[in-house]
Amino acid sequence: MKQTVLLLGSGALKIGEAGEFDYSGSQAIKALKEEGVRVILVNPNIATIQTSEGLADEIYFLPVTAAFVEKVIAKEHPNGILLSFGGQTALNCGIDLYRQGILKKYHVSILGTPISAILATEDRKEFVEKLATIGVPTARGKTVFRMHDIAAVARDIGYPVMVRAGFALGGMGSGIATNLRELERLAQNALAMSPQIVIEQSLFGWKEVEYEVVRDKNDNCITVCNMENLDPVGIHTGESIVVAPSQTLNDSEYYRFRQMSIQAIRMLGIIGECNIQFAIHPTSGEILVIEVNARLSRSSALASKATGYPLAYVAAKLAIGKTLPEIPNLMTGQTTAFFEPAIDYIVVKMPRWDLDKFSRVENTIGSEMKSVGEVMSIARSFEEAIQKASRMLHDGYAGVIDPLFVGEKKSALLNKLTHSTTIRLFTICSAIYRGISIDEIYRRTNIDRWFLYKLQNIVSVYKELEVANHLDTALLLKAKKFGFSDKQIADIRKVAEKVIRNKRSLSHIRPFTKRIDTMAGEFPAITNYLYCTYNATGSDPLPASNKPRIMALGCGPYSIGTSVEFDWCAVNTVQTLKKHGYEVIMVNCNPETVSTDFDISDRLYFEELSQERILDIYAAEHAPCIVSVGGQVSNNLAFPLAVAGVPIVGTKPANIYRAEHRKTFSNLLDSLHIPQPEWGEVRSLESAIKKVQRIGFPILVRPSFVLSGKAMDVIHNEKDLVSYVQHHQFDLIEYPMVMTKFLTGALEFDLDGVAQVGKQLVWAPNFIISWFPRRLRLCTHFM
Amino acid sequence: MPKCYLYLIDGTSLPGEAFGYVGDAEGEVVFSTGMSGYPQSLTDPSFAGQILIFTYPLIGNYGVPTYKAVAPHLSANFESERIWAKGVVVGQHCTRPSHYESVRTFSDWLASEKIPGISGIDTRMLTQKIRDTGVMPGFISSKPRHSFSPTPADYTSVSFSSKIVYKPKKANGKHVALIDCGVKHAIIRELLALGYQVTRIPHDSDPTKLTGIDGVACSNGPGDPKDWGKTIVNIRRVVDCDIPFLGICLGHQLLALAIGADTYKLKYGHRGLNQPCLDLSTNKAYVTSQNHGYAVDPKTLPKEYSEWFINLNDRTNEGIRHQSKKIVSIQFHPEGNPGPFDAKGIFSII
Repeated sequence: MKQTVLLLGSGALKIGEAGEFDYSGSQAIKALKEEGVRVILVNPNIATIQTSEGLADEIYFLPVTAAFVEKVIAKEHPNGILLSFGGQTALNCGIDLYRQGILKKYHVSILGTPISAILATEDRKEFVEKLATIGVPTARGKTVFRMHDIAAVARDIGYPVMVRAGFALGGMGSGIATNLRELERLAQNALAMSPQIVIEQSLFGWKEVEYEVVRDKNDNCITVCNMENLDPVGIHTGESIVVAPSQTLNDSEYYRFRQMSIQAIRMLGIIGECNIQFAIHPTSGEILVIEVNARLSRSSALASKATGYPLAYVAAKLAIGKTLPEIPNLMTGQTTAFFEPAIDYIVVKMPRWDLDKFSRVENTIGSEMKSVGEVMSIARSFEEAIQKASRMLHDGYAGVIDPLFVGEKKSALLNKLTHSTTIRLFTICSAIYRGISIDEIYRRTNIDRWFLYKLQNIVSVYKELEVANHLDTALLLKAKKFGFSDKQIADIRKVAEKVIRNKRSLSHIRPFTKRIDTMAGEFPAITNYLYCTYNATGSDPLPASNKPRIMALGCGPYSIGTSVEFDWCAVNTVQTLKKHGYEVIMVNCNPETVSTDFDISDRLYFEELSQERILDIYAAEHAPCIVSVGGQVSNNLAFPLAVAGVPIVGTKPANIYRAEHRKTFSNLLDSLHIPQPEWGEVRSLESAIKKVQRIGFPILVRPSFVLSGKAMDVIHNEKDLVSYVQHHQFDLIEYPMVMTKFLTGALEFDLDGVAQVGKQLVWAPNFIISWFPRRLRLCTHFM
Repeated sequence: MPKCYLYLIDGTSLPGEAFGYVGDAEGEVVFSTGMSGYPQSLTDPSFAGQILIFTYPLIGNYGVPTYKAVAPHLSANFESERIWAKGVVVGQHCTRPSHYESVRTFSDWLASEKIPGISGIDTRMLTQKIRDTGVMPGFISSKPRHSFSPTPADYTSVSFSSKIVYKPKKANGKHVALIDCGVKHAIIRELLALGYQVTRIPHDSDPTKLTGIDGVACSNGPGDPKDWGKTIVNIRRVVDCDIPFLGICLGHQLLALAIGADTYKLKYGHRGLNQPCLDLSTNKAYVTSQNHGYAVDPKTLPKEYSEWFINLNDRTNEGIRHQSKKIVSIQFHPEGNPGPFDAKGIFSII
């Protein structure tokens, strides 16, 4: 009989559970289907690849909770269930199903990691005890209930100690005490809000390292990747800048961690994948386990993309009883999944926050996750990689040096360094620029000097670019090797970006394309997973093909308003084009996506979605470009790319402009006699106040060319209008503000359609169309 | 930084920047894919006579520790008492390392040992070239050159010329003779940690002449195994006397030759920390540390020996063992350093 497996998804996206679980779920389904398994998926998230038609055999758009999943189990009678591909949501649901006896009742076995291992990693006390039996150390600590006991416990552990209130969310009431007096103060506060406190060895200032570990049913173990957090312990990995492989560990540390990872995965009995986080003391080399995640995680998605090792795919195969040596390495086609990737490049992951969209939210970061997305950059020097990553954020940075901050007072910078914030990287670079010493920065940030020295190298080149009388070829090449973009160089030299690009092309300075092959070149790769770097002298030869080519741009980092739906668009576009005989080139820099799986497109450039880089890729590939499936980031590139000579497939850039540019769009509506709310475009506060008298409050305000309502607001009176403009400090000359009458009590319709050369082909949703007002249909038709 | 060049015998010429010792070096150009462990690799005597390319582009990040002697002629941090590689090729070397155990930079270390380095090389491109055409002689030079003729290297100097006895802290009562063909110190450290008394003997001395020996181990080492004639003869004696034997790396190839099997040169060798090996007797797989350019031909094994391990990447032989006697050898390095030590249980076999 055909095996039926139930897969739990992660449900709605939330901070901490995002696109990475669409990646892991989709890979798992693919891996299971290859083995002839019937896959039933429970996931209510419609905007994902895994819930697309043609992947799973049955999809239930139901909440991932025990009550609903039980109904699915009763109906579908699966033999097995997979809990580790849908984040904490799926894992928790699985624990509930187990505890309520539902799995036993319907004879459903948990595939892969056994429930005992999952429970052991979720229960702190059991976890610590289990690891102690194999001599793997964890942070020393003790739970205390009375003030009377604190002094003895702290003395046992040794100062400084970390104090945490029990059952408190997000580290509330926690702090570090370096002596008894501080401890008493902290403990008193903590005990006031909780019946118990934990006094633990303080890991303040320790370095944080993670390993991705895999084990099969025959006890074969590998570590696929190690990653080092640039930020010290205390900053959530999701909030941290992360590099792969580790940069500051020596061989003995690297392999001691690896050994402990394997000991732990064996002892816990995990089958599949787990993530282990370690802390290492920067001057004594003492190491401790922080925690184990017995499931695929955001880190494992990152590790997969960073190394080319398809962790989720392999974990799913292991769950149904395959062993590592039996699974082929999809990258080389001739070796197996039992090996540890050798990397010959540097990977930098950077988190993307979107805190501007909320009022009254502090930009400090800590043990709680606030970031909503991330980017991954690849290069052959750290400097190049981190500068690329900062641009990939699409958050207004041209590199790690932000000219807005370098003018800040030293005292202000020093103060800022002490607190970890979302802009700490840029603060550090400004501090270096202002001459604050590396030792001083280290004291305030506990970021390993290795990283600070590298940032200092970038600052040195920045200064060289500032003072050089003449930008000669050698300096230009040096700047490119240190990751400077043409725009960044142009801004420093106070010339147009085009000037630098031309100079570069005249001097034959261009990036080279390299492959990610999991083997550091030891074996030829059959896949085309690519990145660009200036720290090279040649490109990897790529296979030629006679097929017509198209380049599709992905969505970049997830942020509020850009999410998995755009990944869905990109993947569907690639698949459709492939079906029609095209060779498809995908460009994206978001590791939490399916579009960046190396086997989705024919060529994957894990690269910046910038005009400069797309032009570089175009120069090598000569493929026309699709910009309309990657959301606002790629859509915004339509015009500049077209101007630079890249053929844009689909809607003409001029027409994209007509739709995006509020004034042009409104004029179009007027000319078609389509009614629209009263509106106006203004370039100063004065004219805004004047114009609003005609429109009348409430009004909807927004700058032109924005994403998903960033800085968009409804304003009810003149006072709010003034403070809105002053607060955001818009450059209204460059980006005029659009004010539209805000209709209250109106009904809103969305209409999607597909058209070719101005002719409508498809309406969606179709059932609405029949009772849709005829006038509305006509309007759409005219547009 | 002064300019310098890397030449390969096929005519390839690559410009770069000199670091370490400014001078010339000649050797067989090989690549290693390990991402850590440059102090261990360069002091590994198996790299004697070779110019080593690191495929990982940033080398020297954690600086270089002290030698730290734990016994006469035994270091805690290095694999021998000097750098044996002839030259080093990197993408970038780190001039400002960060590690509490570091006492000097990578470049300063090379300079003090008179080893030339060349940086600014696209090590991936170079590695792909060697992968496709095989390892070849090369030359690092501070001056542009048009040709060179490689000189054959004599490797036997890697073996320490007199006997050294190492006593373990906690003895297990057993005594092992270790034939030194350029032994990595980690092998000695590992045997001592297990409680063996170790007598390290020169490559050309006969271990069967020693009294009170419970077993013989033969170390790793550089070059073509067929050039180690005296050692092969001595291993034959050990086998004939039924003394338990463990061969590691070169020691594995020498056992094969001693029992009448054959060895051959691999196109570009196995040098890295991620080489997967399968134990054919248990079907269990291990990630291993490797550094070798030759391999044993399993088809030539006499019938009383069987293949023990194979490499999962290219299916070449990684270990052999006698059907009934305690005579075993492995191609990989169970002691790691650099790299993983998942298979270090093998040391207890003697």
